[in-house]
Amino acid sequence: MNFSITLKIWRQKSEFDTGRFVSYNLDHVSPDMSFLEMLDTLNVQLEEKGKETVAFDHDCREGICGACSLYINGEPHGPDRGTTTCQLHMRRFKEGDVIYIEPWRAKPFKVVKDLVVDRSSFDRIIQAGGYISVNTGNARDANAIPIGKTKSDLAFDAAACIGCGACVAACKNASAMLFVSAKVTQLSILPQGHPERYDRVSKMVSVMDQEGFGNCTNEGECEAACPKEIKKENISRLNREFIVSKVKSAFSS
Amino acid sequence: MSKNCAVLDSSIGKKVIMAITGALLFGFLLSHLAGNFLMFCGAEAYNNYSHALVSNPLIYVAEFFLAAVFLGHIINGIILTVRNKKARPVEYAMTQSLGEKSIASQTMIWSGLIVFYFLVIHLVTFKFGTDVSPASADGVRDIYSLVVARFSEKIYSIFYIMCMIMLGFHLSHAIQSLFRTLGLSQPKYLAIIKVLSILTGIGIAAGYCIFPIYFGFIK
Repeated sequence: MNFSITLKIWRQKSEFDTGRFVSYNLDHVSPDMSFLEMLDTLNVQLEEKGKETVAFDHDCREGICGACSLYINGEPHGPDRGTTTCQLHMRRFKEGDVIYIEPWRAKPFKVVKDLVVDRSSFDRIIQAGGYISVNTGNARDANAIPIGKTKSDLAFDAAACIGCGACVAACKNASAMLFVSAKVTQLSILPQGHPERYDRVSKMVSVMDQEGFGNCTNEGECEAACPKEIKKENISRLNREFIVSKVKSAFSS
Repeated sequence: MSKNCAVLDSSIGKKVIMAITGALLFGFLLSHLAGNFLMFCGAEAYNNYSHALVSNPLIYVAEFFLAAVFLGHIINGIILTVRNKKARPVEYAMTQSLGEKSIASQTMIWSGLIVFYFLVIHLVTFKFGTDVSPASADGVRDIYSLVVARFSEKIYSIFYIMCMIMLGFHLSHAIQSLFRTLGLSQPKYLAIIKVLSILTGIGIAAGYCIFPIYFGFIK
């Protein structure tokens, strides 16, 4: 049965605007709607009234691209674990609910407009070292290097990261260490990524710091909020790789 | 900035400094607690132990090292906290706890600063405090009587106990954090490390609280 809700949405004209919450009442919300479809409905209504629509990020709406964000009632990607906002459905809410919707809040994630934030800082971290430089051949060569089951599973789990930024949003320190650790793990434990592993971790952490992300205080909020359930043990691995990288570089010079 | 300074200024570098200095301070806490237990062996044993420590010329080296470790831990902790606050200039209107966030983990800077305040009071009271009875002919300070006199003031004992609870609180998150920061925790041992961390916090706090409770409220 359809129901009515109250939305408290963060509206901000641009990076330079201070921003504020604006309240909207939305009727006839179907429990079968996805959360983003509910926002689409609101936007249609706003457009009909000649008002500015709410800007929010979205792309595939299949939970795999990492474009959608939204901090819903104090939780990145809303109340469901292991899913993105686009996979959240209105059946998780009920008549009369008040839903707060905020953008990811972190210094490196500047608000572009309303709920849209600039996540290009993640791209710059990847550009610093999230790649391999060796030629790995064509698709048929993928199985030419045997890799143990444990390592391939670890690398695959880390590679599931879609770079949405929920880890940063959830962390009380706005730390990007879960994201960086997933990328470092994915590349460093496989033979193809092995030769550059210490250089990579050093460069990626350096850019992460320059971008202004906070530091991990080992509270595991990132892992709980991650739609791809990236494990916090990766952060331990990131720390280990970084320490070894710096010790090696101290002795090699 | 030189290469080494850059490492120490990096996010993980700073975390590693916190972990290593924290581990050293934990070692100090253990040895200090072991020394405290000599109080139960009588005034002479405790005073002689104290005298042996302060009359050793190496004490100056040890004290300098300890002060450097304390300052390194405190200054780094403050820098990290300030940086973490700066990383989120606008706070959320609503937040929910999803992971392992605890009161202890969220108040590390405050429990740490309370312990630092306690440390200053502690040094003023005992290390530089006025003795209740004069030193003996061979220069042995009667630190035992000073400790007993201070703990017999109930207000002081309560203050001491509260600060030790804060220290235990700090340690309950610190120990597990240390392992994870240094990359030493494996997923299968993490649950054990977390339990040990809490037990260590309780153990250290209880260990130090024995003295104000015994000398302030029982004896």
